[in-house]
Amino acid sequence: MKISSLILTFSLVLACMSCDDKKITIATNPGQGAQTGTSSLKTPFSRMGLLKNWVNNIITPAYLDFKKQLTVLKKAENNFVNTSSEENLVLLQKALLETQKKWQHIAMFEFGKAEELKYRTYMNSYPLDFKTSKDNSEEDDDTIKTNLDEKNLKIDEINFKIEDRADEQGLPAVDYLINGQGTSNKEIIDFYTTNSRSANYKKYLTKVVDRMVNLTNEVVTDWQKNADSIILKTEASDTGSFEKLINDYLNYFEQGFREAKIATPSGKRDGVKFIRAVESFYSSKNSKILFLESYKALKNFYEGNAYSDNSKRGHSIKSYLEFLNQTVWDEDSRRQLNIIELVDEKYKAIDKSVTLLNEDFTEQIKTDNSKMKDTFNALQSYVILTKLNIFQLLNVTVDFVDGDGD
Amino acid sequence: MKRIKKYFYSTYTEAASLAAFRVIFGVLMLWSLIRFVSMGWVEQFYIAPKWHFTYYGFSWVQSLGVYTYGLFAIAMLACVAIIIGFKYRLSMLVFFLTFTYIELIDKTTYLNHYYFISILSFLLCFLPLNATFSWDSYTQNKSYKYIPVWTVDTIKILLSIVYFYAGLAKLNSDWLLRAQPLKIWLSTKTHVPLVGSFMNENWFHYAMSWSGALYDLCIPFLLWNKKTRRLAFVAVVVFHLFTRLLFNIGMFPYIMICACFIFFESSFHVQFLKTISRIGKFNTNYKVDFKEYYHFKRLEINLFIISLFLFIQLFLPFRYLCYPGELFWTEQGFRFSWRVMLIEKVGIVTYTVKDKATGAFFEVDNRDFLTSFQIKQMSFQPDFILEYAHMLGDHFKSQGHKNVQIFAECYVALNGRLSREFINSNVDLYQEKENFNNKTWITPINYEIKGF
Repeated sequence: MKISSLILTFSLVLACMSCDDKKITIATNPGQGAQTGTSSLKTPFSRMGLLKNWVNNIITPAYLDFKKQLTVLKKAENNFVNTSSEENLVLLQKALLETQKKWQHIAMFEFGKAEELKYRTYMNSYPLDFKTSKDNSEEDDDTIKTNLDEKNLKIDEINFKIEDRADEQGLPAVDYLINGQGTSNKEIIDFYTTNSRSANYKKYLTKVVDRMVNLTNEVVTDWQKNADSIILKTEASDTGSFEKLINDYLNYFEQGFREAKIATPSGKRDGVKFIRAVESFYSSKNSKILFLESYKALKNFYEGNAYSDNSKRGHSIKSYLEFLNQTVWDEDSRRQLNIIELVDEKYKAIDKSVTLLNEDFTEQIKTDNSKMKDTFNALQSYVILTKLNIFQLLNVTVDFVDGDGD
Repeated sequence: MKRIKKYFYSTYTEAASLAAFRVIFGVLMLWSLIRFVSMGWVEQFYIAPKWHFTYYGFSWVQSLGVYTYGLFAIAMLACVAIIIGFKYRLSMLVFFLTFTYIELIDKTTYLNHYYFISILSFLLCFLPLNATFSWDSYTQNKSYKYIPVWTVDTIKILLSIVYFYAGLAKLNSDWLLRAQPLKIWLSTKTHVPLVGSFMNENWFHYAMSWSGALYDLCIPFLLWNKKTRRLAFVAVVVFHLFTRLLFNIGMFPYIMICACFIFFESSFHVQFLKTISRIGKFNTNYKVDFKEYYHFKRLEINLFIISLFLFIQLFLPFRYLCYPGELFWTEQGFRFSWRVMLIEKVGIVTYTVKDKATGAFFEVDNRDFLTSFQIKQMSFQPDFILEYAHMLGDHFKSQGHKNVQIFAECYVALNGRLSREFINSNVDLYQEKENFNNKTWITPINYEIKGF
């Protein structure tokens, strides 16, 4: 009897203490407080401080800026469709590059609506679809070319919400439409003026841009609506925002960054070069710019640098690691290694291999593919450190597995 | 000799002890199964995966697809029958078989406490848990007051093995001298109420490690000793609830807490049954032929099987001694040994399928074939890595690929060490066979974790 009452009391006490102490430490200068490492109780590192920084200083500003940039793109597109002059084309091409650059800063967040709508897939799936698959009745037989032909389907009736059509729209489609129709801008303009299907080109361009605007509005609205509740989900479990976002980050590093930008075009996975898979293929002179922009976004996220001003640092993965003050034991040198220094070493290795890359990745692959593979190896080395040691130190599970442990 | 004979033939205790254990066991198992189904895990773990990782020698145990739900239904029915004591032996046997079958479908879900339930239910098949307070005793018109004391003791021995061996396994340099993996697991838990502020403290990691080991080693003796029993039980409750608070370990703490009831005096169990009868308003005054002592019909056979079973339990955890190399690294002889919470291990593995003749190759996206849970478990366990290599080889062979070779590039981080190569990436795993021999294609490590 005594024992059962004891159990009861104990479980009641546990139940009462359900919610965590939400200490808010806003990191105006996280270099302090975080760097000392061992848990000085006066300035506790908090997951909420970290989430606040990620949401308020990185993700939300990046989303809003991208949304704004899309209105610029839309306007440029509108002008070009109305007056297909060379001047307007150049403006549109510039707007596209700017959009592509800003896109790199939000691509990694597959959260809420973005995840639900497969935002990244519809916005930036490359290479574009040029394959007809008549043998397979399940897949659509249209390619971006046949779409423009209007033989199979009226452009108005093309349903962009089918995942098979993800690679017939988005940023790569705009790139194809305004950069990929000839070797000179004059030739491109011909497609929008003298070409017998110029109306199709205009219509398709408008449709693609409108689709991006709509998707983005939906995603950004939803993000803003939920931003506060995302900050509050500080728990260290699969429902916690930190776990979700850091998994998004690593997943993007692997799939959107390493695979899509380097591994696939260089043929790392099967030994076959796939030049058309370079990002922004029709303006491939920009491919390295986009790669570097994406790299910067990933680094900012790790270091906690604000989107608007990269020199402003807040709590992030880096300061979390500093706070935990955990080291990695290296059996070879029989030394405790500082994890932050290890990460910096990996970044340095990436930097070193990237500086050797041609601005135009298609050129690089054609002339000296080994440098692409060196970059891949440097990226992979970072992935291994993050996925194994950093995730281990932060006690994060790769992807969500909700079975019991023992 | 005489004393042994006396112990086995004429030392008795209240039949209520086993009956109470039966009711508690049945309820807990029913609860566990319902929880498992309601979490959607049947679908996730047994139906959705294309491929399953099987135990060596048990590859014939296959997922029944959607009928796996049927297995769960049968196991649940068996639980109900166990609770009321209806055709007890058959019910317990059915529970043992269905539960074990489910566990054998996919070793991805292996947990020590599932294994514990499997072997405990095996043991219980041989014990008269229905001697009293059961449907069987009601319908067969006989209820016993006393059962041989050794029947209760076997359960206690099994529980003691679990605890003691778990404690023994903690006597290693990582656990005691580096406070790993607790350091990793606790450090991020600063949001936990009350003790959260200690979680990132070095001394706390060591205190938890040492007290954890001490707890596991001592608790069976403290529970067995009448003088310390009550205090020990409080420790059991506190310990398990604390681990429940910190870790995602499901039903395990509750099962252990309740199982430890068996250590209490039989008067406690009698009282327990009386309370249930009162609450349930059971008529325990039904007319039965009350007998004093329960006698086994074939005592020697039962004793032989149970002794053999316990003997195996005593020695199985030491089979790792047959293998060279570091146990935590190679995991050869790691399972079925009560090595609980000892390692924090993660891996990353990339498979390459190669045509031996042409040299043409391609890498495999593991997500095409496995669930994320399977990928996670596969990435650091050699027997998974080998089995998956064979599944891949067979798959691509059936797709028309010729001269298939399978290579794996794998990195693993163990207990906060820098990750290092785990598998010899020059070995064609498709040519390697699973067996009990030492796996030579595991890259050896240059350090030793000392201890058990």
